[in-house]
Amino acid sequence: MWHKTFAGFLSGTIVMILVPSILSLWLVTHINMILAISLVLALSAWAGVMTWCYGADSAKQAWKRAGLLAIPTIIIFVITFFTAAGPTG
Amino acid sequence: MKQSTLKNFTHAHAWLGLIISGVLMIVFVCGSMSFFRENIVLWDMQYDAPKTDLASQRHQVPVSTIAKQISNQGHTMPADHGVFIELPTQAQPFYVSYFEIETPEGEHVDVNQSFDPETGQRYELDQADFYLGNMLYRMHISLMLPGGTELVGIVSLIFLVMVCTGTLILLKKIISHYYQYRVDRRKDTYLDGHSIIGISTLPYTFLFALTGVMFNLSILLQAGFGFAVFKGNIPALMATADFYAPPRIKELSGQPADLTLLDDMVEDAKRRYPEQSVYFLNVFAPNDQAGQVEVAMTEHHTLDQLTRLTYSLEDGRLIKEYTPSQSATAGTYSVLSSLHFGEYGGNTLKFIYFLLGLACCYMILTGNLIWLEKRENNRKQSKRGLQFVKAMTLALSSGTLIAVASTFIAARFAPESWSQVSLLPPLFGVMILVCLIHGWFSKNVRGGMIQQLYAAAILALICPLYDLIQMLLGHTPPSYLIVDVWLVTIAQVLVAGFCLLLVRHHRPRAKTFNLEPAIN
Repeated sequence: MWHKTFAGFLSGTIVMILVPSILSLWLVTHINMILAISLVLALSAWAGVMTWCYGADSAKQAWKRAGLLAIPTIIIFVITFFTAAGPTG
Repeated sequence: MKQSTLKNFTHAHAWLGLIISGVLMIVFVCGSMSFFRENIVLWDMQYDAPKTDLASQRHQVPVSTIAKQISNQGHTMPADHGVFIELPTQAQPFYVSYFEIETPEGEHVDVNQSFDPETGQRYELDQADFYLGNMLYRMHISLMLPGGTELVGIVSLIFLVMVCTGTLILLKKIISHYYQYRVDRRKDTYLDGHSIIGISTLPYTFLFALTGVMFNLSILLQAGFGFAVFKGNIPALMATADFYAPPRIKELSGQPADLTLLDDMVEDAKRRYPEQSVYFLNVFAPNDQAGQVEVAMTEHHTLDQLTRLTYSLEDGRLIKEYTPSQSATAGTYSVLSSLHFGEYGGNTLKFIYFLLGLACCYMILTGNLIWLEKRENNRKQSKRGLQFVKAMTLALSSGTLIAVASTFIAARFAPESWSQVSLLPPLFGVMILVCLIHGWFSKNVRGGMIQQLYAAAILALICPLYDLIQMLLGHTPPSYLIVDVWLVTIAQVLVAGFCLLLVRHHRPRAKTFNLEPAIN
């Protein structure tokens, strides 16, 4: 159960922070709105990711599920971070 | 949904529930009482202070009288701190001021003073003597422990996961299970009650879990977002989100300020927002013309939180107007906060929230009981380990009700010379410890919980009974015979009723005998 907890918590944190960040880096004029929506959806998504990991049949499957969400999110964020101008130019 | 997934969710729901139940129970019991935080202060004061006729106040001295009194005390105040003055309300019918002073040794000391609204005279009243309401609130938000805020945030997040897993477990049979309450089978009575209340309170539990995460853990989102998008420039992030920033006085003029301008500012604010009332003033650098005044307005029955007007102390001109709804992020935060605190619905909504909070306590207690009884019946379970879990769970669930009831008794009966700040938090801890010891020596979890709930019910009834006798004997100051005080008494009676209701449900049923005559 601890594996599921850590997998879900870590993956949820990454998704909760990076998905709104990716959107904000591309849609600079809408950052305020993205932040507002994130207060509800990103925090709920965090719990959603954890729930998905708790639904896994084993610790290995939980880490796989966590990776399935977190790794593509990180890759997309890194690409966006170095390509999009963002609010700081 | 696959059967194995459902089983995993059920396992996670029970496991997480047991782990967080203690903290969650403290958060819910103290949070439910905290809806009446100001009322508790008033309830606490009724036999001690202030000896003023609160009900007959028709004329109020202007706020400048209070500001002048504070200014004349000659304190040295840090320039970046304001003198906070709350105007009298029904729940707090006197002026209250908070500010920080700098001692000659350079130490910063918090000061709290209260003033008669009719005469402006300072009450010989220290808010620390009426600490119960504030203690319960602090217990709710941070358990009064170092790192407690973050701990409550993590528990809120796990609670949100439990709301999700609980909903998914019942999703397929959400309608049929809602109407299922099997009174004829002992074990299922808890499970059915747990399910019914879980489904009924779903919007409330979701809202409170989400806002709990938002208040205590959104710092993670803010910091992560600040580094990922603003490359660490957090002030730029805050400016984009457009949260309210209080005035910062960079340079003093050395000229004394005319504090009667405060009354003009209040009048101007009322003229601009006639549908709102002035909640508080925050005076930055009150002794200097370079000072600024923040006038906060509030409106009943709306989700919009404070409207803030900033005025100059030089000539009383308006410098800035701020409403949270002018920014999407600040507006969303403000609406979610209003939904959490229930201020917008007045006493009625607070009372409904209070009952829903008790319903959540029912879920925590029944959830623990289901889990622990299952383990008690499992022969493979380590007896010593189970004994520890049982004692901890009892102490932090039904024990919390005892601890809260005990603090009410202490607040009512402890001598005035005893500081509540020093008395109440240790008492809370000691009562939890007593319940832990009791839980350790309880033969079974159900018997232990019943005894503790009986004790909590008796303790919760002591203050209401005392207040009733005082009222019948005519010893209650007439000005305190108001709804705002009675709400606290009713809340205590309801807690006692809640405990007795649980005892009734948890008591083992007597075996039924077939008394029909045998037919030969």
